[in-house]
Amino acid sequence: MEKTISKPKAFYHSVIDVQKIHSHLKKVGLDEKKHLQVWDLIEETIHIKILDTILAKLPEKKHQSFLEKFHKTPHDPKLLAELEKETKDLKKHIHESFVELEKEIFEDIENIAV
Amino acid sequence: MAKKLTKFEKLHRCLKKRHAHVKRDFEKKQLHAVKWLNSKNVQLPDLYNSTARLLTTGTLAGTLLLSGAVQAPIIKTPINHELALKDTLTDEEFHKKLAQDLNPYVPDSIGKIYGENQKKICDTLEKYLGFPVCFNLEGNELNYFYAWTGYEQHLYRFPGDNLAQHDAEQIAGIAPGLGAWGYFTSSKQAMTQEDYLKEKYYVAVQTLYLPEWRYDSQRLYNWYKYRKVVMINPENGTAVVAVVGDAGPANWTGKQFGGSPEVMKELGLQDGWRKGKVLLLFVNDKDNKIALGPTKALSMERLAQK
Repeated sequence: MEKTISKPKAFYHSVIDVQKIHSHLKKVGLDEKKHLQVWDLIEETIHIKILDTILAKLPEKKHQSFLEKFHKTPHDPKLLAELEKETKDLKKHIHESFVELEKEIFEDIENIAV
Repeated sequence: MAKKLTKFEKLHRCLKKRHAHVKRDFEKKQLHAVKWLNSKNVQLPDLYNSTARLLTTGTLAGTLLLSGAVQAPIIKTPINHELALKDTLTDEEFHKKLAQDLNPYVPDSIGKIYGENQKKICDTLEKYLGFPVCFNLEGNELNYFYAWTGYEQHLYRFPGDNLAQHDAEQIAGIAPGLGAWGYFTSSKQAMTQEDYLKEKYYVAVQTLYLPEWRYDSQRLYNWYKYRKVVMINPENGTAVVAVVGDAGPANWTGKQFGGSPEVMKELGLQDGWRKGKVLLLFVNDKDNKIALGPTKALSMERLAQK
């Protein structure tokens, strides 16, 4: 049975693509429940990493209003547009830090076969 | 000989480490943001975090609820955030310590717990959880304080609800009938964050077998409805604040409590036989300030103060 990714999307999901990690994880062959448990952990890790990247690039005086808005409507695509006005190349930074983490997660997944 | 880890255990352990590392990094670098989140009683906004705690009563559409707007009403104790961050135990360490401290007072067999052991359990839990708990509240107590809990299914929250609308643990399925107290809310549109969390973190208790049920059922029905409790797995030190959301299970099942799929997952009882022996205590929370969901590690500083 296809293991689905059913969680709601945050605004930054338009910049990252989690499908590669998902496909990699599927190859491990965990049962659905365990697969989802691991997937939850991966999603949380990605989420914290992306938030960290955003806050690192965003001027500190803008942190509060961003967090307030994000807290209210994490999925709102306008958030990204607003952030981009404040931060040069934000999409690129989000993408880069995601790719870096993605690589580490791939390593974690591959290491279990050793 | 050491037990060989399964693929899942190895991977989970590895990813958990990575998660902790990323989180620590965030807390170290984004101190201002963390301070602000703490000042607003909002936890690091883990959009997907299963520990998300919500307790506000504003009406939200289902989709917004599922989007994970997390608010965490933490007990309002002034804390030094820098110290707290630096000295916070990891969740793993916290659970381990709690299990170690509880262990001497937990009986081998299920039933009530009396005397010094009862007091020690309550004291230990209050110290670790940071809020008052008891086995007897306002003259009410369950037939079991320590007993077997089983894995329950999701409950219908409002007319027209279905399994697909539940955002986690869909594998558990949904109970064919309503919970003992009916729907949690009148409609999807009227569902508040609090309603949402009540179903997510509910337990079932055997109100029907209470000795006073025969003559005082109406009062008991009202008293137990969404009564706040904490379920603890003393084996691993995990604890979840929940509400009484259903009655049962039947005696013939050999289990005395039930836990929602999310409660059982948080307690590490979602696999295998999907049952385990747990402690169940009332949370004394007249002001409704204690958040539903898994309990988080207190800082060393706060633990030391207790």
